[in-house]
Amino acid sequence: MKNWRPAELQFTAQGAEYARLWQVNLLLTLLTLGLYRPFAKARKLQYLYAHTGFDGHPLAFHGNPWRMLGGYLVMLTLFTLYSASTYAKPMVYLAAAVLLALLWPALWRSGLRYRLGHTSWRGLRFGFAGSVVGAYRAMLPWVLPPVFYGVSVVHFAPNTLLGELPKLPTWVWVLNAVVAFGSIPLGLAWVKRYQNNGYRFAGQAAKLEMKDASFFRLGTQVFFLSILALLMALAVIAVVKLVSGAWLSETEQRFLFFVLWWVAIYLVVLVGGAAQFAAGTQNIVWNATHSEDVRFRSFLDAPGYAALQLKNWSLVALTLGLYRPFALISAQRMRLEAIRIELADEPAQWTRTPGMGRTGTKGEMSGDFFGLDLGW
Amino acid sequence: MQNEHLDATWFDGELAQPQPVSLSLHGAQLHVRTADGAKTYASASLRWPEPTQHRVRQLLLPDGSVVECQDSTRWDRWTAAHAIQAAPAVRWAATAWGPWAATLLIFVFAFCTWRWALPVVADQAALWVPASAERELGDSFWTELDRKWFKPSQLSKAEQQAAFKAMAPIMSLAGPEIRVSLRQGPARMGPNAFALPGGQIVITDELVRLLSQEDGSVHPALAGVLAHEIGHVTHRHGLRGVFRTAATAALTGLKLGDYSALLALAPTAFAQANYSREGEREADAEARRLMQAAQIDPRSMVYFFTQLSKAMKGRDTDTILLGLARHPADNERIRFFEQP
Repeated sequence: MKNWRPAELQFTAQGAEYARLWQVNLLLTLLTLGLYRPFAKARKLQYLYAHTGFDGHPLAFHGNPWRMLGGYLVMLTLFTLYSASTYAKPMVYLAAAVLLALLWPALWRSGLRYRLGHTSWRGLRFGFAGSVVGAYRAMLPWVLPPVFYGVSVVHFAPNTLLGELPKLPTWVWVLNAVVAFGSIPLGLAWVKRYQNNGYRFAGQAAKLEMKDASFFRLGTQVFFLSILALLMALAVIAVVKLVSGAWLSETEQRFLFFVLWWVAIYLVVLVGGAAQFAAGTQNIVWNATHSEDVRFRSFLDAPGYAALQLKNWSLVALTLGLYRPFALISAQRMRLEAIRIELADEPAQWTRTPGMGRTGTKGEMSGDFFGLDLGW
Repeated sequence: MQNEHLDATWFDGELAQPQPVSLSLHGAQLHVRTADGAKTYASASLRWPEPTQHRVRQLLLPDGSVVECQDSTRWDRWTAAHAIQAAPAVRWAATAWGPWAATLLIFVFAFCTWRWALPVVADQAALWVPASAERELGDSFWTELDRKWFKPSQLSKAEQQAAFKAMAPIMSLAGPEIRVSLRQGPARMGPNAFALPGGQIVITDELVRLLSQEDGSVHPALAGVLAHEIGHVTHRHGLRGVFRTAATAALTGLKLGDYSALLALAPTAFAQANYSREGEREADAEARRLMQAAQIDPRSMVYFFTQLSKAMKGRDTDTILLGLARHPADNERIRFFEQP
């Protein structure tokens, strides 16, 4: 029997402190037309990692911004070309989208390797051991909906021109929706499994043991909650419309309705729904992850997190973006404080994973030519 | 205080076991003395930690090892005594006024970019696009629009001929890229005309009817409307608008980043509104010039505006959404065409 003891996870970053860093970062990014972004990101990560303490020692981010600049320029070129293709003919756009989708898993894996390989705790680097093939396999479910849609169009409405809504029978639309609702959570489950099973630290391999079904349950839950919230928003808007009839003309009313409806969709789906989904995902994934001597628990309160994000994004909008650094820190704090970690061993005895890089050694040389760092 | 040692712990990157070290500075060199010996680093090339309120300081060394000090007060005093300075951007953020100045500059920069730089850059980018590509873009867009929203003109042969006759003086001045089509638009579109990049111009049946006279002819104001649309084509407003929208969206994305996609749409819409008001003025100026060249009295446009406002009265179209942006106040435009 192992003797588990709780280890403290401390987040000591402060909104006001981070805001100073963020403001200067943003100004320099704007003045350099975006070229400063990797430097800003390295500094931001250094700040956040240095203020995330685990068992008395902070994490550290070792990324070299000059290297990250290379990766950033590659991504910038890819996405500029992709965005430009949306203005081109549908066929060109389709080709660009397919090309980006084909590259994406490899880029994503490269980003994971870079981020983990440049993160340390007690001087030991983390690592990511997921294979390239594994990255493609993990994202396979997400290929299903577009392929299924393509097949339906070719079969039922072969004369549809690109960029036009095809005339499909209703049951085919329903079937497409079912395929999408099935594949998206399944893909998420596979992606998370690939991701967490790839984490390495001090000779230990993380293991994620969960059922794919938990993501279906989460997806369904968030979907119905969002529908419910939208219906409630619709009821409120209807009352507003009824009451405002006394002062507003019909056109003005329609305009008001239009604006309120989009605000409601934004708040309910993009903020509330996304937050609920993120909270659920964190709980599912981290309650099922462990390694030989480390195990995790996550108790993030989904409604509470959604409420925090609603507050955050409303304030971000009201302050023209100035509240953003405070929003980021408060969200991160809530997410981290919901995680409990237990250790079965004395980490002071741990040693570097053989073959996992230190600067200039194999890990960095063989893996990533560019400092490709994705995500925030 | 010079050459004073600072005791800290050190992780060598191989073992998680912390080792006691003492740091000392000799000129531009940092010495890290461990139990097994000393390592030397050029002080200026190190990224010294930021003086935050947190009690732990960490110094990441270029060989991947990490120095950690659990007493930030001692660390900060030591670095200050040795005149170690953080990177300029870090020092800037640490001053009392720095972040506020940065915020002010961000808004000044954003405003200047949006008001002056973006239009110029977008216009330059649009100049690079060859006319043939612009025409292809506009035509393929029109093919799609035509199929989705328009029906062939329901006007009689005679009405169509009258319309083209009214426009003939302007058409004779226009280049071969200008092509005019009459179409029956969706009801909400009402009396309307628009130009696509590359020279395709569309006029709705309702607009022709609006300007039809009792004797079967069409008022010369229709020629004015056509001249206005030609103005949009010669100034390449369509393509420039596409570039401006894209550039504004990109810049907003840079500021807000991440998933605030819908928030990013608002500035784009405002940019679009302002640019198009400017565009309408340019097109009006071109219309006036063309009308004078074709010896049509510019004042005939006043008839168009009065007819239009009569027709729109009490009509249920999305005038707010359009009127929010699209056209400068009608009165201002009427005055423009009335001036001698």
